[in-house]
Amino acid sequence: CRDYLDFKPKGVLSSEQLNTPEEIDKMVIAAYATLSNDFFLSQMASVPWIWGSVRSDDAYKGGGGTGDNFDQHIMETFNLLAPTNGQINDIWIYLYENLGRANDALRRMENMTEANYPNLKMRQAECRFLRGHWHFILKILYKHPVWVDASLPKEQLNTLTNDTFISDELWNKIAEDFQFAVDNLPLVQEQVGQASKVAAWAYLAKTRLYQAYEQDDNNNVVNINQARLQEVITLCNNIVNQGGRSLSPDFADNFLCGFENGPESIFSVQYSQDDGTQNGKIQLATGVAYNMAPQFGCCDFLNPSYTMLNAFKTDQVTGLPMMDTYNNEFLYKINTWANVNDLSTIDFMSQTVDPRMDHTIGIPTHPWKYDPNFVTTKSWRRVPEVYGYLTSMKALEHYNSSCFVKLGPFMGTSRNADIIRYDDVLLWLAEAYIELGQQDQALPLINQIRERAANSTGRLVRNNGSPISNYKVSSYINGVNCNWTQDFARKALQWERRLEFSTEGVRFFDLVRWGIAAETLNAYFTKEKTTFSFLKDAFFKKNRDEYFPIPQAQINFSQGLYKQNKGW
Amino acid sequence: GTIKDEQGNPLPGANIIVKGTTSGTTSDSNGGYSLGISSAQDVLIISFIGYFGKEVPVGNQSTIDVVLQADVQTLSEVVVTGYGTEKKSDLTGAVAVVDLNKVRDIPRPNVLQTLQGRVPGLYIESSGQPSGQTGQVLIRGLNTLGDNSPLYIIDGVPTTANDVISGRGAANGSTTKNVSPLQNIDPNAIESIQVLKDASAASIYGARASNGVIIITTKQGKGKLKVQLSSSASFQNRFGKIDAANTIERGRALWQASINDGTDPSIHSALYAFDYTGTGANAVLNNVTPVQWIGGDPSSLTPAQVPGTDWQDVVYRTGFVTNNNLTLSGGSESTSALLQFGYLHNKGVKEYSNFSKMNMRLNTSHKMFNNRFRIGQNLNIAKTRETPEPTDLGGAGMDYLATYQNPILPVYRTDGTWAGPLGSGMSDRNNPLHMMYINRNNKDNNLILFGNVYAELIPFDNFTLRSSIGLDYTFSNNWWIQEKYTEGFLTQSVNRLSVFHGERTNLTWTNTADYNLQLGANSLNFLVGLETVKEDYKTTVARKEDFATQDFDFFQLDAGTGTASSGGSRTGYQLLSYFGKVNYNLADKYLASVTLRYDGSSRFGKNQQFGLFPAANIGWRISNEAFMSSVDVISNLKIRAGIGRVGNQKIGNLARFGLYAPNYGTMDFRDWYGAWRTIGTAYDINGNNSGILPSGYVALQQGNDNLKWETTDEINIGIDFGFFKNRITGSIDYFTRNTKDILIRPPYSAVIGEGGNRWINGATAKNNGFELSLAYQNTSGPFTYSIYGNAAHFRDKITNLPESVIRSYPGNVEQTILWHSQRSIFGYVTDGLFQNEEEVTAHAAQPGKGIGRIRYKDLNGDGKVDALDQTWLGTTLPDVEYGLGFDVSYKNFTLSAFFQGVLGKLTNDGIKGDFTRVNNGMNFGTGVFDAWSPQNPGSPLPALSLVNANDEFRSSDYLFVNGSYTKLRTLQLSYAFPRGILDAVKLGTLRMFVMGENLFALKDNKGVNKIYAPDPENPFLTYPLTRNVTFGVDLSF
Repeated sequence: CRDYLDFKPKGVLSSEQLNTPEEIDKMVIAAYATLSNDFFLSQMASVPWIWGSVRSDDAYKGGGGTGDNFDQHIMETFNLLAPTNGQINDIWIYLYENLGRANDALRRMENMTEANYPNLKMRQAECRFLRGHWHFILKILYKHPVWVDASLPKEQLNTLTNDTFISDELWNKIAEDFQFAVDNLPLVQEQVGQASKVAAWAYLAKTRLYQAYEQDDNNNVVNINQARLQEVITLCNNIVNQGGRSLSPDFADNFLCGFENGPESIFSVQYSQDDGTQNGKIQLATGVAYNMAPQFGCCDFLNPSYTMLNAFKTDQVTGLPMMDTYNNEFLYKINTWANVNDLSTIDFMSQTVDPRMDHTIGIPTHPWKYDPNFVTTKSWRRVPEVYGYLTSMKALEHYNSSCFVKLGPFMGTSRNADIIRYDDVLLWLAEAYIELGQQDQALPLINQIRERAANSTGRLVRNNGSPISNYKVSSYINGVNCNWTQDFARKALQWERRLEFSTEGVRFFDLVRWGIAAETLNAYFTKEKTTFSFLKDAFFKKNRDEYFPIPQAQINFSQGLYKQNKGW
Repeated sequence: GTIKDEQGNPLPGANIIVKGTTSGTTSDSNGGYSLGISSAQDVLIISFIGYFGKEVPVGNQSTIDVVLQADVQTLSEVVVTGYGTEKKSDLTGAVAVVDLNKVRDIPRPNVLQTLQGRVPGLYIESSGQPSGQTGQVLIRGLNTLGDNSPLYIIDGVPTTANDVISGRGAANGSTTKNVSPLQNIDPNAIESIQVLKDASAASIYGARASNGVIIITTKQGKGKLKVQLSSSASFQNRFGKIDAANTIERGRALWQASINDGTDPSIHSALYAFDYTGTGANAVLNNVTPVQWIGGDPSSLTPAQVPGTDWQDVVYRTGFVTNNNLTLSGGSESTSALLQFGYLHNKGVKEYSNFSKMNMRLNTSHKMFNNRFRIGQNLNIAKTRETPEPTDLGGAGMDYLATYQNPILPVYRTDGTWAGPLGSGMSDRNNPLHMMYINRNNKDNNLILFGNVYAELIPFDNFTLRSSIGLDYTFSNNWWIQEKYTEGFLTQSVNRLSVFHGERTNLTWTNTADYNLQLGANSLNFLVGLETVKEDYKTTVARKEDFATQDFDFFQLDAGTGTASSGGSRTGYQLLSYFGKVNYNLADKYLASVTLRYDGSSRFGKNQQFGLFPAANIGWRISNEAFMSSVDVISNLKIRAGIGRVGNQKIGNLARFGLYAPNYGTMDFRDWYGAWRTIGTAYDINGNNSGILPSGYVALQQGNDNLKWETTDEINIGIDFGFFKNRITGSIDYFTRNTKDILIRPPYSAVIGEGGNRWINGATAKNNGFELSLAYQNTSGPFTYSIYGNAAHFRDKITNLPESVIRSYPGNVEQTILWHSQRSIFGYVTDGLFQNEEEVTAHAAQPGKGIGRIRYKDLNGDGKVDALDQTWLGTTLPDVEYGLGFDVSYKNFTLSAFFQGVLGKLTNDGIKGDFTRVNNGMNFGTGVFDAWSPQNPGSPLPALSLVNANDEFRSSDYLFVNGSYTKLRTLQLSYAFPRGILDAVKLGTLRMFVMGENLFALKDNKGVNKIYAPDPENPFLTYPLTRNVTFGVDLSF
C-alpha cells in the first residue's frame, strides 16, 4: 500500500537534469534574463532612477504624493531611513537573486571540461561578467555586501559574512571577475546581447575608477589612488582605440526606439515584445514615470527637480554652464502658478540653455519626446501641489513608438536600456586624467561631449521649425572662456556628468564617489525646501547616508554574522 | 388517565410502570392508559423518550392524568462523530452540536455565515460576499502558522476549503478566492452540524484534524411522502456609509493642508480658487470656488460637480436576494429517498454584481436481505455563477474607489460617455461605475459534484462492514474580458480575453468494520478502518488580444487577432490512513474511549511519510450515580477529560521536492501590490526585439526529505450540566494545546538566491482557552421562552521559531514575537499631539515632529524615537467572543433576537490613516474636519497635511484602535399557522416570518478610541457586510 503515496511532480525538473552543456547554456540565458527582469519598485537596475536620481539633486520621486511608495519617499528625504525599511531589503533580495542565477550556471560548469563543453571559458566569462555587474551595484548601494561566488554549494551560502573582505578587497574581487571576462571574451560577440571584451574593459574601468576614491570607515574620501586611475586610463583607451565605438551624432539617438545597439552602446539590456511572453520582456523600471497625458495616464513618478532644470542654464555670452549662479533664480517658478493659465512669464528664449535640457525634462509648453505636436501641458501633472510641474522623458517612450507597450495603467518599452555608454567611458577617462593632474588631456574629451550636445538640436523644434529653447553650448577653451586648472576641470567634469546623465540614476553614486554627497545634497535641500514642503525634513546625514544600511532582515537571517554599516 | 405534553398534545407510547414491579403498560394513540393497582401506596413511574420521567403516588385517585415536560437537552440524541455515531450523553470529547433551528431561516448560500457567535469556540470572520465566501474560520483560534482552516466531513467524505483561481486570475496570474465547501451545500439540505473541537474528539481524523473538524450530515427521506417548500426574499443594504467629503469640503481640506504645510494654496488651482485672508495660523478661508471644467476647459466635456458625485451612492445599491427551495422526501422500511432543489440569486449591493447558485441533491438508500445489506448514495450537484469583482487599471477595488474617488468628477461627461480623471489635481484612479460596467459580462462558473456511494453489510448481529467512495469534484470555467477604452487620461489600449479551466477531483475511499459488544453492564464498541484520498488538480489558461468589436458575443478566443498566450499546470496529493477506535461504557456512568490513527501523505519526505495520532478520553456521569438520585436540582452532570494528538499537512503538494522550472514569462506578475515581481528566464540575447526567445530555468525551492507531520497535543477538560429538570443547561470546557514541528516556509537569507524556499518543521506554539455555554428555558402559561448564550476565549502564543526567521515576524531587534500571538500588532505608542513649539522642543528627537503632529512616546527614554520605541499593542483576534440569544413564543408567534460581539480586539481603522495626510487627488472622510488646529486643540486627529512628514502611517495605537463591538445579528418574528387551519387546507405546516439582520452595532465612539469606519467589524475597504430584511414562507404537505 505504501506505493500509493508515490507522487510524481508535474511540469518541473530536478537540479541534476540540468547538468548537460545544452541545459547549462540555457542556465546562462536565465542569468542574462535577470538583466531584463525589472520593475518599478525594487527591481530597477536597468534604469536605477530611485537609487541614483531621486536620492540626488536630479529628481523628485513624484507619483501620487509622498505616501505613494512611501519607502521611496523615505529614501528621497533620508531622515526616516532605517535598516528595517522594506524596500532596502527588497532591493538586496532582487540583486542577490539575479547574482544567484550566474552562480547557479557557474556551479554547473565546474564539473565540465572544454572537451565536453567547448564554450566553457566563454560561458564562464559571461557569467562572471554578470556576477560582477550585480556585485558592483550591491557595492555602490550597500558598501559592504556579501561576496558570493560559486565555490560554495547553495545550502552553505548562509554561512557567508559581509566583512570577509574590506572595501578595497571587495573592489578587487569584482575586478577579478571583469578581468576574467576581459581575458576570455572576444571583441565582438556573435549575439549582440552577450557581454564582449569591450564591455568587460568598460566595466573593469568603472570598477577601478570607483575603487580609486578610497574611503575610510566613515565613507570619507581620504585618498585618490593614482595607480588605479592609471588603470582606468589604459582600459578606457583600449575602448577608444580598439572598441569600435563612437558618440552618436545626436544625443537623442540614445533615447529613441530604432537606434538600439548603436555606436555609443557598450553594454545594454536587450528588451523585446511580441515574443511569446504575456506582456513582452519590456523595460518596466520607469513604467510608472509616464505623465498623465491622455495617451499615458499614469503615474507621473520621476520628476526632474527645479534645481536640475536650472543646471541646464548656460551663460549667454560664453555658452558655459552657470556653475555658481545657476540656482539663484528658478527658470520656472512655482510662484507663477498663481496665474495658472498664463505662461508668458516663463521665458526660455532670453535665458540660454543646454539642449540636453529638452532631451531630459518635460516642460510645459515644450514638445515632448521630439514630437512638435505633442506639447507638454500643466495638466499632465498628477500632483503639482506636491512635486511641481516638470516631467521626465529620457527613459520613456513616445506613445506612437513601436517600442511602446501599455500594460494596464503602466507603460513599458522594448527599447534597450544602456548599462554602459561610450559617453560615460569618455568622461571616466577625463575624470582619471584630471585627478592625475593631467587635466589638459581631459579637456578635448569633455569638449567632445559638449560639441555633441551642441549638435543635438535637430529634433528640438516646434512645428513651425523654430527651436524650442534658446540653445547655446560652447566648448571650454583654456585662457579664452575659462582658466583650465585642475580644480576648474574637476568642476567642469562633474557638471558635464550631471547634465549628460541627468535622471538616469547616476548622480548619487557620482556624488558619493567624489566625496561631496553631504554638502551637495544638504545645500540642495535647503534651497529646494523653500518651494517644496515635502522636502521640509529632508536631511542627508554625513558618514551615514552615503550607503544604504545592510537590511536588518538579512542581518537577522545571518544570525548576526553580518555587520551593519557605520553610522547605522 | 392520559399522558400529555405541556401543550396538551397526547403522548402515545409512553411507558407506565408500577414502581418496584414489572407490571406496566404503554399509552395508546390518544395518550390514554389503564392499569390495575393493588395498593394506594403504589407509585407510578411514567417515562417517555425526550421527556422528563415522573413518579406519581397513586393514593386514592382512580384517574391520573400526567403532563410530561419535554427534556430540551435531549441526551438521547444521536450525534455523528468520527466514522460513526454516539449518544450525546456518551460524548467524552469537546463536541458542539449546532442548533440549526435557530439559523434555518437566514438566507445564505453558506451555513457557516449564519453561525457567527453561535458556537462557542467557532470563530468566523464574516464577509459580505454574495457567494457565501467567509473570512477566516477558526476552531479554538490559531494553532499553526499557515492555513488554520478546519477539516470538513460531509456525509463521511472529507474536504477542505480550496483556493480557486478566478477569471481575473487567469488574466494576471494568480488572483484566487478561498472557497469553503459549505458554499455549495444548500443549508436546507443539512440535517446536522457537529463541531469537533478538541484533539481527543477529532483525532480519529488524525492527520488533518489539527484545526478542528466540522461534520455535516445531510437529510435522508423517511416516512410518508412529504413535500416541503421554503421561499424567502431579502433586501440588502451595506452596513453603514462612510461620511465622505463633497467637492467644497474637499477644497476646504486641501486649502487647510496647504496652509498647514506652508505651501501656497493656489497650487490647487487646477480644481479650486480660494478666497482667503491672512497666512499661517491666522489664515481665514472665506470662500472656495471649484473650477467649472475638469481638465481646464469645456472641451473636456467634464463639468466639475457641485456639491459633488456621491460615489458611494453610485457604486452601491439595494441588493435583493431570493432563495427558493423544494424538498421531496419519503421512505419505507427498506427504501428512503430525498430529492431537493435549491435556487439562490443574489443581486449584490454593488452595481452589475450578481451571484446565483442552483443545486440538486439526491440522497437514497435501500436495505436488502433482511436488513443485513444496505446500499445508498448521497449526491449534490451545484452550479454557481458569479460576476467577480473588477478592479480598476491600477488594481484598486470598487469599495476603495467608492470611498476615495474624487467627488468633483462626474459619472458621465456631457456627451453621455464615461467621465474619467483629467488634468492636474486628479488621481490616476478610474471611474468605478465604468469599471463595473465593462466587467459586467465577466463570469466565474463552477460546477461542483459532491457525494458518495456506500454499501453496508451486517454479516451477524452487532457487526457492520461499510465501504464508501466519495467524490469531491469542481470544474471551473471562468472568463475575463478586458475591454479597450479611454476614460479621461486613463486608457486600456488593447482588449483581451482570458479563459480559465480548472478541474479538481478528490476521491476518498473509506472502509470500516464496526462491532458492538455488550457484557452485562459493560458496553463496548470497536471500530477499525482504512482510508485513501487522492487529489488531482489541472488548470488551463488561454488568452488572446485584439478583438474587432467589443460585443460580448464576439469575445471568443478564435475571434481575436492579436497576441495569444497560454498556460497550464497539474498537481495533486495522496493520503493513506489506518485507524481504530474503542468506546467503553460501564453502566452509563463510566465512559472511556481510545483512538489511534496512522496516516501517510505524499506531501512529506520519503523518510517521514507516516505519522501516528493517538487519543484517549474518559467521562463520568455523576448524575447517574445512585447517591445523586436524591439531588433533585441536578438533572445531568458529567465530567469529561481527554488527551490527544492531531496533525496538519497543509503545505504545498510539492513541498518536499527540490525543483527547477522554466519561467518563460507568461506569468511574470505574481500579484498586484507588494508581489509584482518579474522573474522570467527568457532573454532576447540576439537583439531581435521580437520572436521566440531562448529561455533557461529557475530554481523554485529546495527539497526536504525529512519533512514530516506537524502535530498538536491537546488536553481538554469539560463539564456538562443540567439543573432544575434541565431548565438550565450548559457546559464549560478548558483546553490547552501545544503544536510542534509547525510547517513553515521561512523567508531566507537572500544570498542563497532564488529557490531558497524550503519547507521545514520549524516552530512551536501554544494555545489555550475556554468555552462556556448556558441556556435557560421555561414555559409560563401560553409563553415559552429561552435565553441562551455563549462565550469563548482563546489565545495563541508562538513559543519557538528558528533563530534566523524570528525577526521576519513583527518585532524589533530587542523584542520578538515569542510568547505573543501571531496576530499581534507591534507598533508605537502615541501621546497626543504637539500643541506648541515648547512641547515640540521638549520632546525626544522624532524626525518630522511639529505642532499639530502626533507625539510618539520615547519608550526606552534614549532621547530619540526610533524602531526601538515600539511595543506590543494587542492582537487582531478578540479576547472574548460572545453570543446572546432570546426566544419568546406566544401561542403561534415566535420572536427571537440574537446578539454577537467581540471584546478586546485591535482593529486598523483604515480610513483614519488618511486623516494624517490628505490623499492627493482623492477624497477622504469628513473626519478631517475634526483635525487639530490651534482653534481645535483637543482633537485626537493630527493637523491636515499633504506630505505626512511625521510618518503617521506607521503602526501605532493611533491607527490600531479598540475594535470591540456588539451587533444585533438577527431579529425575527415568525408565525406558524395553527393545526385547525392547516388541516382545513390539507397542509402539514405553514409558517411565515420576517427577519432583520445586522440592524445595529455598538462600538467605541469616544475620543482617541473613536472608530471612524462605519463598521468596526469590517473597517477596511473590502466587500461590506450588509444589513438585511427578509420575508419568508415555509410550507409542507
